[in-house]
This record gives sequence, C-alpha cells and structure tokens, in this order.
Amino acid sequence: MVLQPAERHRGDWSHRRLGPWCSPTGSPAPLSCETGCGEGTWILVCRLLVPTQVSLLSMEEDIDTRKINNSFLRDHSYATEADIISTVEFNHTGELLATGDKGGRVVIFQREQESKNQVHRRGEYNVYSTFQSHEPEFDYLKSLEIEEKINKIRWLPQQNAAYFLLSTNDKTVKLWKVSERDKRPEGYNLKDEEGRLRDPATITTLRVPVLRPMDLMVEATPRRVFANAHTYHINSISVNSDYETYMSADDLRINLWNFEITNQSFNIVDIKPANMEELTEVITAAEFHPHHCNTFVYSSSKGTIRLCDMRASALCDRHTKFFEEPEDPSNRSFFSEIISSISDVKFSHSGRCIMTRDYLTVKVWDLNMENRPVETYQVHDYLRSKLCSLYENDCIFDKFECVWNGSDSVIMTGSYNNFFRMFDRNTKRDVTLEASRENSKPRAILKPRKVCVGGKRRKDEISVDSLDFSKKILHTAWHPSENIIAVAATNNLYIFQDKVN
Amino acid sequence: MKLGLKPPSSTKDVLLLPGPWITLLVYYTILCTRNIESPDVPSLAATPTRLGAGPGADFAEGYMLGKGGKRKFDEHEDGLEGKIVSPSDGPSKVSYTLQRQTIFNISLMKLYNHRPLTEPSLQKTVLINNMLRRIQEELKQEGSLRPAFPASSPPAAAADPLGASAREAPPAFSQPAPAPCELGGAAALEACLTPASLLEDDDPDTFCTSSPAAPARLAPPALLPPEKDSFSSALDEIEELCPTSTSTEAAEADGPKGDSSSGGPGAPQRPEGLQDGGRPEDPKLMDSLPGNFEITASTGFLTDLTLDDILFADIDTSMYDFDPCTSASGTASKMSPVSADDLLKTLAPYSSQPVAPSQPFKMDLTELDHIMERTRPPRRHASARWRTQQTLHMPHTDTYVSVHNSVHYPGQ
Repeated sequence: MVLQPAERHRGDWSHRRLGPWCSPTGSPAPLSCETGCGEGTWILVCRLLVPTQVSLLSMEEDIDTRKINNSFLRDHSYATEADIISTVEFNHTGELLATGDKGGRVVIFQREQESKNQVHRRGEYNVYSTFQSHEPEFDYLKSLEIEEKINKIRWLPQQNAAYFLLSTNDKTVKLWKVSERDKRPEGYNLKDEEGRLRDPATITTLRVPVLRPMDLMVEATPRRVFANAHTYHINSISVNSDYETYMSADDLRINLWNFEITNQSFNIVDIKPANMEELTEVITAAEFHPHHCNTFVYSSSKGTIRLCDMRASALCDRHTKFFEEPEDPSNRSFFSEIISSISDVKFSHSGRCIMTRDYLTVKVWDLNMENRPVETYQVHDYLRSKLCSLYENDCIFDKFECVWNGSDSVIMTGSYNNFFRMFDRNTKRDVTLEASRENSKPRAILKPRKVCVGGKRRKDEISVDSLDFSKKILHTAWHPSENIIAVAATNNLYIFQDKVN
Repeated sequence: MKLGLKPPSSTKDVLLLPGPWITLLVYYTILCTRNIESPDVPSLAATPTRLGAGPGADFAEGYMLGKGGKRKFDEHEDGLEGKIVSPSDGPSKVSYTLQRQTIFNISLMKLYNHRPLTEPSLQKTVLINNMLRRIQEELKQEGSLRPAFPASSPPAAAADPLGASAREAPPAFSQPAPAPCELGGAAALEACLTPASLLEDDDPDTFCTSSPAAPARLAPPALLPPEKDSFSSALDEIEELCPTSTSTEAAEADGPKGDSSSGGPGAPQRPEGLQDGGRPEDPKLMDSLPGNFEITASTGFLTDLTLDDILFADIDTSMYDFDPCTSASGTASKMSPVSADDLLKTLAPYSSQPVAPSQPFKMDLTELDHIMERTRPPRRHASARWRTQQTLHMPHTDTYVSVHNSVHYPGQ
C-alpha cells in the first residue's frame, strides 16, 4: 500500500482554483455568495438527455452535440426505459461528468471551456463520449437475465492523458480507458492513404511518417474486465486512495481487487450465514476512506454502519467500529426496519465524517462517535404516515443517494416529485428544489419548493397527496470544487449552478 | 403514480413503474374494477352480508378492494364495546390487527407474485421476509393464548368468561402484548393507507381521536378479546370459502369454527379447479423462488408454514388437505416429520379440543419451529396451500392470469 498518493491528493486540492464559497479546509462557507443556502439561488445550466438510439444515428450525420442537446432531444419524448439514468459521477477535477443508464450505456459529458467570446456558456456540459459498457447477459444456471444496468461509475484520478473509470452492473466490473485522439500519422511507406498495402516494388523513395492534426476523436476501450467474483448483485464500488486497488460490494460479500489482476480478488467481508434461511441482513453500500487506504465502511439493511481496518485481519468480519443509532420508541411501526435500511454511505472529503441515507433521513456521523449521529436531517418526514402505501407500491425500497459538496458544508439528496433537498450543515438551513421541465429555460432560476403537510395549503405549496411517486431523484452528484450539481431525473440530466453575480 | 389505489390514468403511468411490479399494480386495478362490475360473482365481498355484525366484515371489506359499501364499522364498534374495557381501544386494536394482516398479505403477494426475468433483489426479499417473520412472531405470541378462548369466543358469550380466560393469559402475554400494541398504536393508525386506507377514509375521526389514547391504554385483557373476535371471525370467513372438513370434524370444532365447515361440500371443487387453471403459473412461481436464496424455496417454506401456522392454527386445518392424493379426513393421529401436510394434521386434533391448556399448544409450536428448521414442504402441497390463500383474496384468479399475460414487460 503506497501512502504518498494520499498526500499528493491532499496537496492537489489546495492548488485548485476555487470559487469564493468553497474552501478545502472545512471552514464554514455559505452556500451562495450572498447568505446561507436559504437565500442562495441556483440556476439551470443545461438539461441533457441521454442520447437514445435515435439520436445516436443522427450523431453520425451531425456532429454538433450542442445542437442535439439543445434542440432535438429536448422536445421529444423518445426516452425508453433503457435511457433511465442509474448513476451520475463527476471526475476528480469536475471537468467530466459520467452517467450510466439502464441500457448499459455510459455517457460522458465534458465541461465547456471558457472562452472570451461566449463567457456565459462556461459551465455547460456537452457530450464527450458514449459507449456501451455492459450488455445484457443470461445466467444459464439460474435461468435468469443479468441486467446490463450500470449500478455505479467511479473515476480513477487522472495520471496521464487518458481518463479511466470503473463501471459495474450486477455482476461484472469493467475498467474503461477514455482517450482522445487528435493526431494521426500520415506518410507511411508500405501503406497508402486509404490503408491499402502498397506493392514494395513500386516504392522508390522513403519518407518519415508525420503526425497531422485530425478531428478530435474520443475512443473508449475496455482495459480490464473483472468478472465472476460475485454471486449476488453488486451495489457499490470504491477506488482506494492508493489508486492500486478497489473494492466491489454485493449483498453479502465485499471483494478487494487489484487493477492489474482480473482473475482473482480477495474476499474481505462475508456476512453470508451458513444457513441462508437465517439471513436477515444484507450489505447495502461500501466505501473506502478517502485518505487511509486501510479503512473502509459498509452499511447494512438494518441501519448499521461498520468501519473495518484491513490491517487487522485478512477477512474483516469483525468490525473496528460499529455505528448504530438506538431506535426511537415513539416512532416505531411495522416499517421501522425497512425505513432504517441505509441506501447510501459516503465519506466526507475530509475523511472525518460519514453520511448515510435511509428512507426518510440523512445522518452525518463523526467517525469517533459510534452511538449516534451528530446530525440528522429529515428529508421528507411527511411520508412517515404513508409508509403502508409506499410499502405496497414498493417505493419504500427506493435507494436514494446522498452527496457532499466540495467543502463538506452542504449535503444534498433526492426525494419524490423530482424534488431534491440541500442541507447546509453550518447554518442549519435547508432548501427543496425541483428538477422539472417547466424550469428548463437555460439560466432559469430555481424557485424553492415546499410541501405542505396538512392544514391550509398556501399558493405555491404542493400537498403530500399530489406528489408524483414515479418521479424520483435517486442519483445526484456535486462538482468536487465548485457549486455545480448534476441531478438525474429519469432520463433527464439537469445541471445546476450556483448563481454568480 | 399517486398514493392510494386509484387506477392509473393511462397506461403511460403504469409503464413508468419498475417492470415486475407493473403486474401487481395492474392486477390491483383489475381487481378493483372486477369487484365493482360483477357483484354476482361469489367473493369475499359478498360474505359480509351473511356475517352481519362480525368484525370480520370490515376485514373483508377493508381488504377486498373496491367494495363500495360503507364498512360496518359502527356494528363492529358496538360489538366490541360490550367486551373491552374502553371503547377507544376497540378501533385501534382492530385497526392494528387489520393493518398487520394487510401488511402480511401484501408481503406475501410481493414474494409470490413476483415474476422477475432477472433475479429479484435480495435486499428487498430479506426485508419482506423479516417483516413476515416479525408478524409471525407476534401472532405466535398472541396465538399462545388462543386456546383459552375457544369456549368463550362466540360473540354472544358474556364478558366474564372472556375476562377470566383473559386473566389467565396475562403472565404469558404481558411481555409481548405491549410491544406490538405500542408498535401499532399511533403509528398503525396513521401509517396504514391502503387497502386499510379505505377504512381510514370512512372514519378518519374515529381513528385519529383514538390514536393518542391507544398506546397509553393497552391492557392485555383489552387486547385479546377484540383481536380474537376480529381475527377469528375473519378466519371463519376465510374458512367458509375454503374447502372444509367433513361434518364429523365440524362437530368437533368449536363454536366459531362450527360455521366454518358449512361451506364444505362445494368448496373442494373450487380450489382444485383453480389449481388446474393456475397450474401453469405455479412452476414459474416456484421456479422464481430459487432465485431468492441459494437454498431453494426457503422463502416459500417460511411463508407456507407461516400461512398454516397463523391463519389456520386454531382451526381444523385438515380441510386444506384437498390434494386428491391425501386422505380426505385430516384427523391423522400420527405425525410424519416430513411434510407440512402432516404437520397440519398434527395441529388439527389439537385445535378441535376446547379450552386446551396452553402447554400442549406451546409444545406444538415448538414442534412447528423444529419442523420449520428441518423440512421443506413438497412443492405440490406448497402450491396448493398457496393457491388456497390466493383463492381467498384473489377470487378472480383467471383474471389475474390473463392480466399478467397481457402485461408488457419493458425491455431490459
């Protein structure tokens, strides 16, 4: 395990250019330039649609991706279920944004570069590369399909000109290399311009091939395929801070891989009981510590988080720390266990806290305090009285994700009706915003929304019964250093930016 | 898709839902409309008229979606008030039981109606199983007192015998009773929406006003009688639709179970007919179980015995042995430790004894656990039993099948 990369990682952080509202040291920073997040304003940068098959065909004819994003797809509902975005992830610089969808495709967006002519277009993301990461497979042993849906994408830090990312479906993890090619060699001796072989007898002179510029081509190639290591569905992958290993977690086991070795992995956590009938708990999410390459956490369906140290033993079945909040007896119901199931766990960028998302709340835990979280935020507590219906229509099993902002001062998570919520940890203010087509004009300012929980409903409020539970925001991402967020709503990807005066 | 069981306004709404559950929701929709459209078809909805004042009436109505008539909550309340300590406890206890039963049924449907093309989510399966286990535990705790009631359970019985037998129970019951009641309590009243939400819609005030009081005034004696009434009456109702035992067994059975065998002769044909009709489904359903866990049908096993144990434990269960290969009279004295059928036969002779002490019952429960640990029912019986359950709550099985076949699975 190499320790220096962690140091280097921390060093890079301070050299990055940061907006005035985002400081790496964790000191309090308001959500917006003006005041706290209550008065902060978020504007829509762009709304992107994951290209469907139709648009891919048109992309061959018309390379202007901006035109595609802004006009063609925006007004047509060609979205199929395969276009539903299933994961969103910024890379470590924030320049690239990767999305995975249910059809096994990965679409990478790149941030528009600053230019003097079109200053206002900075911050827009356009399609950079699209590739089919996973194909549907069939498990002949169980007679079941293996979905090609991309469950998670994780970027590797950039170490050369190419970008690397890990993408996974239920069973297989793949390492993809995304590289640009903008030059092409010309002037071969043995081949002519079209690539046909020349008859050596006709060659009279020799020349040295030269590199000439060509149209930018982005190509994605699978460099590694890590397969056949998981019996159950992979729910998380996490790259270690040593940049040499990563882990993949399924419902019952966690495996540690080396990037170079695809035919074996180490099993570091196994909670499968000897008798499957005694199974009452599954692993729901796992993540490596951002700086300590020996530490990781994993969450369970019973609302517990375990922190493990890989130095303690090869098989980390015994946790180093165990985080669990005692149940609140006044809130007990039939569904207490189900709503306590943790759907996502994320380390803060500083590595001092973890954030967990269960069905109704987001909790921030200090790694040094195991018996209760330091902060609890209610995301949509008005649903507490609707749990029976939500159980019936399966919404109670929805897995919402949660994200930190770059300075760990604000946390964000999604809800129903295309709402997403932000909580400022310092000012204790929160805001509910909506990612909807009605606000789809570029630079449109998002209006805070409010759900009324009974009593008189004010004009702009929406009542709980009018919420659309088929429009849920499960996946969001926050730019690592700026206040730019990506919100996935079904097949739409919304990018919002904090307004700068 | 909104909360509540309104039919989707367009197919587009349905298609936006995750794939396999389209079946379930569309099924619910069809069930609603069928119940409204064809009242002449014999169904659970028709039986409340016969049961009259039984609390099981609202159980049936509350569960059978789309039943338009006003639920007989007033009768129910009147019936209860003569027995329990305080009127405000009545609705909360019943609603707790109803909600628990509702959730139990929903959970079962989730496990068995799922026709995944891909492997079902293990997390979801585990959570649903935990829910079922918890409900089963609760019912088991409460069921340990049931033998005290058979002699006094007819609604016409005086309050004293009930009180007396209830007082026998408290030592065994004191621990678990408050827990599930508090669990239910306020949360149960506000939490349940559908199908029990139909109950709430009619009498929101009754539920709401009683909710603050409910957790505070939970006494085991108060708990048991209404529960037993509603539950056993509900069970009786279920009994009537199921194939029942011969008249000799009916004679042995207790009061509440007596009327359960009245529907006997006609019943055996029905589930078998449905079984034939539903047989093409069964292999698929059973085949989907191995995908849940590595050990096949562990889910199915748990649920099967849960069904048997909870729903039919105090009722002569041999009637469910309608498999043509097995003996018609279920009163076998020996218990072969292999199949759940035999297990039920074990329970049958016990359940026909009135006012049995709790010891043998607990012993049987222990044996039940033991057998649960050890064995797995043959698929044929499991499907038959499941089919029975399906018959009760989904009388229009043919509709279910046709709905399923016509639902389009979005490409994955």
